[in-house]
Amino acid sequence: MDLLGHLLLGLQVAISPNNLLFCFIGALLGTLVGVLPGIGPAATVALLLPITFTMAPETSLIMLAGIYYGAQYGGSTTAILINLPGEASSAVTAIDGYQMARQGRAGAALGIAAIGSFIAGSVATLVIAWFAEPMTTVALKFGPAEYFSLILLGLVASIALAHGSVLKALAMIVFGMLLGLVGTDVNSGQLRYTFGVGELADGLGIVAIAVGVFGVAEIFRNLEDEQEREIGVKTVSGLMPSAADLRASAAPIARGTVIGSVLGVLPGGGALLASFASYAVEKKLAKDPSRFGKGAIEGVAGPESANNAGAQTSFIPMLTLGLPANAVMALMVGAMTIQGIAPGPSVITDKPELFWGLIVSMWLGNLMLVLLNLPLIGIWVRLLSVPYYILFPGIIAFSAIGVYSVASNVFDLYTLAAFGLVGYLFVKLGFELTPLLLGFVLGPMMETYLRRAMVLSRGDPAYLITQPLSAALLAATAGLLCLLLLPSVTRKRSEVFIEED
Amino acid sequence: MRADLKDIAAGLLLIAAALFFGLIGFAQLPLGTSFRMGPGYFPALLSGLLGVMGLVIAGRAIGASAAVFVGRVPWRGIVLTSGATVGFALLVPRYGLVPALVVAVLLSAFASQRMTLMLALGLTAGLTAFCVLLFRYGLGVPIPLLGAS
Amino acid sequence: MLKTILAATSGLVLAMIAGSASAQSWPDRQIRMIIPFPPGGQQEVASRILVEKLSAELGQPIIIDSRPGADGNVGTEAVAKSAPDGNTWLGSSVPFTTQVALHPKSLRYSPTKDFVPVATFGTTTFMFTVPAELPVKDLKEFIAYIKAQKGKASYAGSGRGSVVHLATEKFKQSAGLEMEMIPYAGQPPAISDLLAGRVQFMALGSVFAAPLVKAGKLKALAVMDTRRNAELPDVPTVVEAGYPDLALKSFFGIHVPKGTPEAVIQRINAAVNKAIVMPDVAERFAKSNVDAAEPNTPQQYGALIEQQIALWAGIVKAAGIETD
Repeated sequence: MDLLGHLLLGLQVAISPNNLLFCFIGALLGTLVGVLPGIGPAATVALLLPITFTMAPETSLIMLAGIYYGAQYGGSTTAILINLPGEASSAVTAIDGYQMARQGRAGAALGIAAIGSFIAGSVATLVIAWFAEPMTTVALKFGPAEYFSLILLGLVASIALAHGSVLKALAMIVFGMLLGLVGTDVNSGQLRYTFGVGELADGLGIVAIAVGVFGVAEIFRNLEDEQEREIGVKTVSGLMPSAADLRASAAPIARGTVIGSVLGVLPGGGALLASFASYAVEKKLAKDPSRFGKGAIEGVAGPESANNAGAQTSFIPMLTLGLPANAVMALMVGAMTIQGIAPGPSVITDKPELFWGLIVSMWLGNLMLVLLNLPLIGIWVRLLSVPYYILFPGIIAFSAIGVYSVASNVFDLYTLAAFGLVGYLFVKLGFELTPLLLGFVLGPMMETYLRRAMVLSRGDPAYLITQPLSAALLAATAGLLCLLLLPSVTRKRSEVFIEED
Repeated sequence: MRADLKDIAAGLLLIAAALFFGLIGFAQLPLGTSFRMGPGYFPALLSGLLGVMGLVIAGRAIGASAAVFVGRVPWRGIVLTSGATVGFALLVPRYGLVPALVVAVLLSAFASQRMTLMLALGLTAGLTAFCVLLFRYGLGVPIPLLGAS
Repeated sequence: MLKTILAATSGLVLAMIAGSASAQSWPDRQIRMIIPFPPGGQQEVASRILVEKLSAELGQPIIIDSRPGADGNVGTEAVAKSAPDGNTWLGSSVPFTTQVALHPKSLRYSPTKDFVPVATFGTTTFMFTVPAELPVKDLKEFIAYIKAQKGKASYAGSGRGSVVHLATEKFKQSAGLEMEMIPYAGQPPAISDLLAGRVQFMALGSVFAAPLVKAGKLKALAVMDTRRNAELPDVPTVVEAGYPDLALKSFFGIHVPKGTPEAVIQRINAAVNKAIVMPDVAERFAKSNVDAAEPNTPQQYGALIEQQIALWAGIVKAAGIETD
């Protein structure tokens, strides 16, 4: 069968009333848990897993997938409205999205996030249909050396996320990486920085840290001057992006889609790297980079598209090889096994209705999400007019339940409280917290890949350069560093110094 | 002497963090070799880097023009909001979701100086009901409403 | 001190009274089976199929509760601390028997002193797999190939102290091989480096190996069992290949906290034995590469646990990989 025949087969499966219904339920639930701080797609999928056993295999996967990409849509909503990213990848969206919301442009930010996500999701679905096999080959080309170099490149590029001092942003990356090392060392089995606290053996909870340093710290910041002024957004200009907004976002959405589709294939941090790689690219290409961090719509459009495209293409390794890229995918592999389907290369040939049905449903799900989310914008924006002192006890309640529901672990709640304080302290001293979150996620991965590369090469650092792909990535990193630091690039330099003063 | 106190504090904070991670790591975690890097290799590298950055940030602040040091700090809000989370943590495993929510919402409501008693009670009742409906019945989160889990 | 002892004893007595009282009416409420690993794994899949039958037999819902962390020790500890009333079970598997040897000092439970065995319900196997392009046909050629590499070869292990790691160490000891372990957090992340040929060997769970071997992306050299795998009948067993002591089958079973009434244990055991002979259970197990166990008594399962603890302790000692 050709591609068209396959897609038709998939369409038949996906538009059966039952599958359509569960695709919608999945997307709706996903949006909901994405919007609620703390409780994320992994926890939701784990809760719903037993229910799916009674469904047909394709129906259960269609619904679980819907939860996953629905959460990507929903996650940007709270990031934009109240500076509360549900996951590390929407932390990038929060940078400019939240600023837009404070300027009364929440509608435009939410709208462009939904539209960008839809375009990116649609394109990435086609990428899966067309290029799943070759993309798998690319993913296998990435060994420990290549991953290490890619993450290094990503971290250097993430300096672009900083709108204040570059040095302070770098320090936050390093501090985040150190926090990421807390827990059991995979190589030696030794505990690091756990001080005998059993709950720390698996490290600090990412959700608790993200909600703490962004959500709770932001509440403290808003309480600072509540006496002088009413916090919140008074004037709301337009619920939808204007024509000018759409024009400014077209190219970022296209670039974000490409970046996300490619990086998403890499298991682990692919989709996350994509969202801030896209931010870095947009800031670099912008005529006036100083607008970034102050409500530039390109800083929402690009990363949101990249994030969503990456979320879609991260299905590729699972569908072609049975290799899950993250916790949600691992649960979907479990859902497949319990249905009696061995996840692996044979799924495409043995179960074409499942493979193609899932792919077509992803596109339909994305369409449903954009139709669902655009009308919701009106409600969300109205939520901002609720007085802040009524809003934030709700944020605290939602965060506490969400964080606790991840693993019924009280320690995660103490982490949440502690990182609210830590986050506020750092903000007061002029640090930005997005780099901290990136370091926290990528640091441990970087260490693992470096150590793995060193064992594979028996301790020869040249291994990182003798692998051609790794060498190319390292060269790009060096180039980028020069661009950022060399005085000859005068425009950049003066701008850096202005930002620092 | 002129100095940017904020950046000096920032630098010192980083140095303290670097010392914390560095010294504990050095005492407890073997460094290993570049072939078989030990669990202490990366922490040592990173805390060294963080320490240097702290020194540079603090060093450059000496003689720089001073920024506003700290500004206003909402102590009442910080204490009550953090207390709300900790209270939730203490109550939820023993007494269930409802008592934990009531305490958390009441405490955090008074973090704002604009809050009145009646409003706080109404907010607590409303939010608790909403959260129970949403999380327990809507999403099926396995936390008991009342009683130990 | 005296107060603590008093409190502990009175607690124990109360628990025993409560336990014996409820043994008559058990099961009177929902049962929780804690699996101490991340959700979605083979053990969870098999357990869900099993508890569906047990729940019908015992007349109470049984929920599967995934409590991952610290190689299974977080969830296992939680069961050890729970009331011995038959309402909390542990899904036990090989890691339950390896942790004693790996963490002789820091382990906060004893698999034999804090738990009593109920029954084992299924087994699964690991396979010796190599990248498709590795120029070897069988285990003998592989051993010769690795020896010719003189220490340059590496193998994938799913974390230090995991079954995959320990089994391969045992293989190295038996065959006199030199290979460096590359650690991964679980089996799936290791597979891509194996497929790409960056590592030359992995003792991979059959559930992952079978589809990849069938698609020609990996070669299977031997199955670590005394009989061949139904999915891949052409792959010889380690016994046939001349390494009978590598038939390290992996098992899944149920344990309950020490102090659980004997009558309750017997009822669960009987329910398990009834379920595992049902044809549809065997069929559904087979799809996730789990073989239903033969009907067994708590004593037999206990003996298996004792034998496994001794076996892994020997491997850990010989390989020198104790971690505290």
